Amino acid sequence: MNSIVQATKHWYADLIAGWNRFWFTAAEPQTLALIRILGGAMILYTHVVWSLNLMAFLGPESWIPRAASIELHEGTYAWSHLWLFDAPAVLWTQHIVALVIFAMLTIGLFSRTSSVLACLLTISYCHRLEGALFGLDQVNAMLALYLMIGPCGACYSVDRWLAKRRAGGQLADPAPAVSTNVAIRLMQLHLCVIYLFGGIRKMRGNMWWDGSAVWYAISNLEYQSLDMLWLVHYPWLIALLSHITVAWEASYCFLVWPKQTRPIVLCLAVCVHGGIALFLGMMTFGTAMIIANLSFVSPRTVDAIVKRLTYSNSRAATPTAKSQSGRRSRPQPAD
Amino acid sequence: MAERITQPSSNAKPSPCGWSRMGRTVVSVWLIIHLTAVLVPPFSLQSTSPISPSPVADSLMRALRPYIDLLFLNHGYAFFAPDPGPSHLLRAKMEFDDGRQPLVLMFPDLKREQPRLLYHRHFMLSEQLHSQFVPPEPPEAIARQPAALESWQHGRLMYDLKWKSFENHLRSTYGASQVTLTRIEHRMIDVYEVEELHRRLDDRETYFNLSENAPGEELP
Repeated sequence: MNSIVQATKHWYADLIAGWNRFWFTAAEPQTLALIRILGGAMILYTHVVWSLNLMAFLGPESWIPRAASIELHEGTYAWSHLWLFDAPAVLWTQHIVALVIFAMLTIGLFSRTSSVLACLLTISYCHRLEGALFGLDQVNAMLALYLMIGPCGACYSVDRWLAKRRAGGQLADPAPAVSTNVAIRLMQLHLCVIYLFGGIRKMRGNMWWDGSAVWYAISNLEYQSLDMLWLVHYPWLIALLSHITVAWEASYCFLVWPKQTRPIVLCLAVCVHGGIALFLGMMTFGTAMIIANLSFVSPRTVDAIVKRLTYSNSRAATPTAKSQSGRRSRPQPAD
Repeated sequence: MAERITQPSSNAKPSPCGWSRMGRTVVSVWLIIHLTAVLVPPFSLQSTSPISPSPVADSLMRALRPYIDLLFLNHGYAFFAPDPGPSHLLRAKMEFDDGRQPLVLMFPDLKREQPRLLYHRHFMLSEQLHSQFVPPEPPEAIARQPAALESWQHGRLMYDLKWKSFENHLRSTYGASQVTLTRIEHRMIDVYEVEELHRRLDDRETYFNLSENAPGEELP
């Protein structure tokens, strides 16, 4: 009996230690900062596109006007500041403020404040614009929510540049933070839920099993952005792509964690979402999903890539750097 | 949440990460609630049969509904699932009192709606209107089931609300005196039709006007 109690105590202690290691280990900010730049840019672009027809979507005579939008959400706890007004002047003023906040998030200016405001605005727009939304809006809201949790402006940001200038050019590297880790972990787990249920749902369909699903996706005229009908001559390839898509999606949440399988899973993510972006007319959604998948790339890898890119850019841009580049540049250490 | 490792909390028993046990416990409880709220909506979708939802999923959904709605987490994540399906479009015929010829527009229209994201917004408007279709009369099967009847009434009310909103929007945008909307289904084309019959994706025979009286009913 005593040994059972001891074993249970050990198991419990291990469980708590594992939980703490997973969630409460400090992480470096590079990955979160890169997601801030790319995710922020995507959120900004999404809302710039609303501006092209703002009154048709938010105005008093919009597709779904304010009163109808409120009624459609009756009985739920959804909220939106856009349910309070629909006068064109007020709508435009608040929309321009929103665009400025999304731009601030993207460049990392007053990041802590702008990330919270960007999250609130993203969710608020989604609730108001129910009826015209799709996967892109779900991913945008997810990114905005988790960017708000961690110090997403700790590097690659105007905040960092200003702090460095105030410190006379001498500033220590940003400290790793637990909240960065929590934000990244939540992003990772949320992605796992998306793929797991996406995979399970597809498994309930017949076309994903008989291998014809990819054909019906690429031959849908309303989605199609590049003509892929030549695949009609390669039914084996269509079936293979269908099976790989389901297998990858359903196994993502298991295979993305081991270091051995992670690169394969992430490469497939780029292929699947790249395909959706290029061939199925959803460039924004495909790109947003690839941005979310960056949460599985380590901060050191991100840092090495960014340093290599910025180094080669500065070499190309400045004559001084060009003259110094006579000797071969040393690559930055990779993860 | 945003405390850094270099600035440990003032609470007792700080851990190596700089967070007190109390801090970690509070955050852990929130993490469990949050992740459950992320998981429950797609679980609820998956576990709903034509007869009823799983009582477990239903209870969790009810308990977490405020949190799920507040953070816009109520999604099924069923992209192109369970199977890719046909597209649904909307044709609007506008008639004018001032002598102008009637104007017929299709939504979405890639030529009119650019960039692609704006086109996709219009595509979603017509797709989601179709997905919310509820027939004007309740099916006989539910006539004596109060709960099902209530659900039908609410669904029909919401569908009507959207339909009328769309009509009003088009009336005011184009200055029309009358707007007639028709839902159109663009059916899928199989491999045989493309390979053997050389049918084009925009073949007229692949478009059907949908009836407003019964689900799936096509008009001649």
